[in-house]
Amino acid sequence: MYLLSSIPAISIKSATVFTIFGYSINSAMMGMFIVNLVLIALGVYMFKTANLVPTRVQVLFESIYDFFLDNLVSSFSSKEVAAKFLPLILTLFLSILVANQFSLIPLLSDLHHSGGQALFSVPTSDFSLPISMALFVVILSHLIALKINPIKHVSNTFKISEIFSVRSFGDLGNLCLELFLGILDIVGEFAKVVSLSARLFGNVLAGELMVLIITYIAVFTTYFVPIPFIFLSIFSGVIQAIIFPLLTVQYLAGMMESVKK
Amino acid sequence: MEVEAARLLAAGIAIGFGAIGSGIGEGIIAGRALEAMARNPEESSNIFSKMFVALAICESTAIYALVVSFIILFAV
Repeated sequence: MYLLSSIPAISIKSATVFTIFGYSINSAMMGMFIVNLVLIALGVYMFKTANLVPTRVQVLFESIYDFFLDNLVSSFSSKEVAAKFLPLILTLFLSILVANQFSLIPLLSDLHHSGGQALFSVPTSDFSLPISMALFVVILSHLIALKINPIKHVSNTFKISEIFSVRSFGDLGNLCLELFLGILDIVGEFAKVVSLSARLFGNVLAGELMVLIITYIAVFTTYFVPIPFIFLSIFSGVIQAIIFPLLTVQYLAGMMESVKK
Repeated sequence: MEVEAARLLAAGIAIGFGAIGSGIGEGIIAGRALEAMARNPEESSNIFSKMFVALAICESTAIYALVVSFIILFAV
């Protein structure tokens, strides 16, 4: 960059920190390791201090639990199916929530490798984490549909039952339209993966880069001026952590609806 | 035109045009939400929380444009 002096190198990929047995560990993985430690510590704390008369932290966790449980029950309209999917949804929410706010943990971003690269970085700012979560969710919805009723799911995807119901010449035109819409639906599945991951990745990366550039743009914008942008980044991190599980529930419920008997 | 000049122009145009639709859409969402809240004040908090979800989903097209702009600037 020409105008900003002494800014650290901006790159979308996070840098490799070290290699173990031929696998390269990069700083986003180290960041996710810290996120896992925080979540385990939180879980152990809630387990040890759970009480019939709740403290404020317990009320917060119970309200999160109730929010997602109500959403699941209203989408799946059955309590057993909702209870089956609740751990996945809560895990997605908690891990994305803590991972998005990783830059708030003090002192961790200043640890540097001997080569000059940062040791920890925000996990969701490396594209591999959001896209692996989105791929997992979309492939899971397809696998569940295949497990419940494989013939109906394949017939829905490739519109096979419409081919067998052609009765007249006018139906042939309808069939061509249905086949074209079927192809668009298949492309739509890939669009689901890309949109789900790009939304999360784009929000976090944009917040990070904005704060970084504003910090280095001039000597008098380093100290108090980034604060509104940090608030914006916190807020959008929380919103994106709510949106990802909500959309997951919609995809799973839509897939289960379309293969219901 | 050299590659550097084209890269800077492309990054600017990508996010510039991308944010137009998102701005208009979010304005429409917020306007309808305020109208609904004025017609039914006791459902205000319910409408407000659902408006946030719709706002975040509508924002995502502008975020895709932003990601493309970052890719052009830093990774191509």
